[in-house]
Amino acid sequence: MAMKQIRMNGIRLSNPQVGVSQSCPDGAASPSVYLYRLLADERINITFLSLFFADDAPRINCCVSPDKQAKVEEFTLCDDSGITCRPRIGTVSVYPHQFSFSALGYLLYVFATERFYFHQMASSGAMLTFVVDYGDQEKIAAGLERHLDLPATRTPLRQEIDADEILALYKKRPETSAEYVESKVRTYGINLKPGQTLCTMMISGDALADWGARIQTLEESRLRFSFVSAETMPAGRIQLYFLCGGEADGADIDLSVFSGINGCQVSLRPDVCLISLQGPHFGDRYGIANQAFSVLTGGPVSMLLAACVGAMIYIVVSDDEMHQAKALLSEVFETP
Amino acid sequence: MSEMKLILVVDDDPDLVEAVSMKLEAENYRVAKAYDGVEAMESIKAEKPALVVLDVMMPRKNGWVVCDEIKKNDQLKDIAVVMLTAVADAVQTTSYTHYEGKTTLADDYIPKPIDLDKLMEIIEDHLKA
Repeated sequence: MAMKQIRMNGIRLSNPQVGVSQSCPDGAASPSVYLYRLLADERINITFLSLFFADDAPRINCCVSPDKQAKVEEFTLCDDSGITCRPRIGTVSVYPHQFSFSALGYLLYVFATERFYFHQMASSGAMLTFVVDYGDQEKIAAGLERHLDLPATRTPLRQEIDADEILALYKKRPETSAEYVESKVRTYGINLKPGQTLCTMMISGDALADWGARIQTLEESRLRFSFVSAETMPAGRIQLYFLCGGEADGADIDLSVFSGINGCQVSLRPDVCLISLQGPHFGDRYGIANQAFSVLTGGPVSMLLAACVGAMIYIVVSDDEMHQAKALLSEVFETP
Repeated sequence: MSEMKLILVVDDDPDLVEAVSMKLEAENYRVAKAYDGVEAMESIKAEKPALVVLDVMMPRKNGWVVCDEIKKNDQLKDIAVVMLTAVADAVQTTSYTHYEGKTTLADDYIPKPIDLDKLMEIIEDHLKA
């Protein structure tokens, strides 16, 4: 199948990170304390998060700074935490995806054909971010550079200094330094996108190239995805979740596109809502994910999926619960 | 019909660049995008935008330096610069110095999180001037 090359503006690479994951211990419906809460309590910033509560086995994956490795390893010592650590991972982000199936399909096709391995993947409004082994990061960036149509001057950019180093630089001017506290975390707004269909797919890793090629064909329909998230599972299977425009956008997903993909299992859940919120430097500040998720999990709203990528938080709930979710989020986040 | 003015949006947060760009395009501006200070200077020299919406804390070259380079260059100094700053105001876990901000020659400042309507007002004011 001919693949359509895509134009992108840039590739961004993270510094080394530590991956921390939580899944339910055997027999438990949910962990006793969620990972994002533990990290917030220790003032540990989450640079990437993907959360999957839509299945029978809830899972949370986070990336944190490597200087917090000793602390997060302590979490794993608790028998019922279900927490595991993966040292030396990193992220590769490509932007902007423009919510295009062509871009999504092409990137996954490239990962598959180049045999690039990712642990998780999630979208923000502009970026598709892949969590990869740090040792593979440069190789993946070089491969993407070969395949993508990038502006000549925009080579992959590594985040050379992290937020803590920036703060240290600023603190060298003590006569004008100050610390502030927000009583309520400010955002650009809490947006609802109802009427979406959540498409869940389990595919074998060796079918990813085929899947990528086929999903590119949806570009010609009027369908657009509004969120995508994925995780590589044991035995190399890939669990993919994407939200796409429902009838409100005048298009429905045609499942026949995926028929015949080796080992592909598909399920659809209509009438879900994508909640998005974005705030200044959300990706550099601890406790933001906990503020958002704790207010929901403590109440009557069931999160299906969530992700924190860059400065954005995405949460997927059923349409029935979206207004309640927004009201709860508005208690802890200020909107313009 | 008047020519659509070009505005360069510079921020290391691609999501914010997209959000501001969409608003500007809806208001009939042409938009160029850059994601760090080095890219911004390349774009400014090549495309000579009418106005630059410029973040402060960015990799490779920060916004204060970019602003200085614009305002100290005779060929670029008339380009209006509106600086975006998250740290000029209250944030939960960061520290910040105003020192460099007070010594640069930006035409205007707007705190993050940006009120997009307010940003449009500021942009229109500077482009009319």
